[in-house]
Amino acid sequence: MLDIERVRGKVERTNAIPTIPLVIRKIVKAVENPATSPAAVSRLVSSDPALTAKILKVINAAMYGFVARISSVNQAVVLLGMNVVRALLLGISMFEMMEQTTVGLWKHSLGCAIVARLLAQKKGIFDPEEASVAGLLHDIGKVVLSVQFPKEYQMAVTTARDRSMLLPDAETEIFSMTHAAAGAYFANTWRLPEFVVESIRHHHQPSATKAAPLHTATVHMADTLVKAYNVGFSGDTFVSAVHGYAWEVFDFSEAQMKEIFAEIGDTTAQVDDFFKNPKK
Amino acid sequence: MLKISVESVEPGAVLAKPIVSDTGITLIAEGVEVSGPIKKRLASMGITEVFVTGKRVPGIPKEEFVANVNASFIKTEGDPRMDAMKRALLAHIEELY
Repeated sequence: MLDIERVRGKVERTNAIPTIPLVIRKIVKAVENPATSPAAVSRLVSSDPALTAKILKVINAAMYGFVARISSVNQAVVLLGMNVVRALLLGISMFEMMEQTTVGLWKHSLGCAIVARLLAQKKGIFDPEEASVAGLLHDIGKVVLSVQFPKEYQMAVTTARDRSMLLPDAETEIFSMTHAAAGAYFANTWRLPEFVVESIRHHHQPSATKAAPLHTATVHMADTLVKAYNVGFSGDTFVSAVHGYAWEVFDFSEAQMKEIFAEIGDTTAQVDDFFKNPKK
Repeated sequence: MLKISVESVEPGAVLAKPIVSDTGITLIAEGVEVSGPIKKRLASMGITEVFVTGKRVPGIPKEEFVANVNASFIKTEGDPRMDAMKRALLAHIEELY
């Protein structure tokens, strides 16, 4: 078992990874300074056209169900706020650098973003865009752990599968923490918005957060539905029971769940297309 | 209704949503068959994706889909609400094929 402080230290130093593009590190730093204007952030992002295109593609897919609603970084900053755009930039660049090995996780996360938005819209309880951001980033801890501890993370996934365990249990055996805790350390280090940090940390236990219970319950429910449907692969072979608190928020009948699965089915096809046509 | 890339539109496919310009003018109406000339027109307008009518068949055989669902839900068997979720998903799969 790895020492918890060592794991935490490496997770929090993920910003030292050279594969996080320089421009992203610059942007994330710039946004921390309250004096930075949205226009300055847009300029930084737009200085890398390939990155800009990728980011806009993912934002439109996750937030607006593949409808190209946002066409410039400036617009994204105005619509979503700097902090959210910053969280997205970081998350997207983390996923992009892992693309080869974690397409399954990327698909799962994108699916989760779309379904979280759908659930938030259905219930009308809070900003659907925040729900998609939280959904997109909820498993960022898996990416961070597999970047910092590639062999050990692979071992956690195979252990869970071979011993019929839930993935977080296998992670705890190896890392002394789950991907949820690791993701929250990472998100905290990068000062991502509180609702993002909280829904990452508690997405298995939504009643544990006081700061963002609805976001967290939404991500928890979306995560379960997407796993059940087998959209992508989260690394977890089994679906865990939905937490009582999330059922209170989303008291769906069997017929309503069937309708939701039909909507997820349409989404799955789009998620698959999204990864099939990288040039789009 | 499916959203697919113009390249992968099969012969006989019909637009499920019209192609509308930025200013709101309908350029190609709903219900029009996406034939070769229409594909060329779409390409000249820089449109890469369209909505067509029809149902998408999942990429895996039904038996495999059902087996995956059964395997995923092993840990929650006996939990009434999770059993309902599983039934809802299986009923949805039944309609897909």
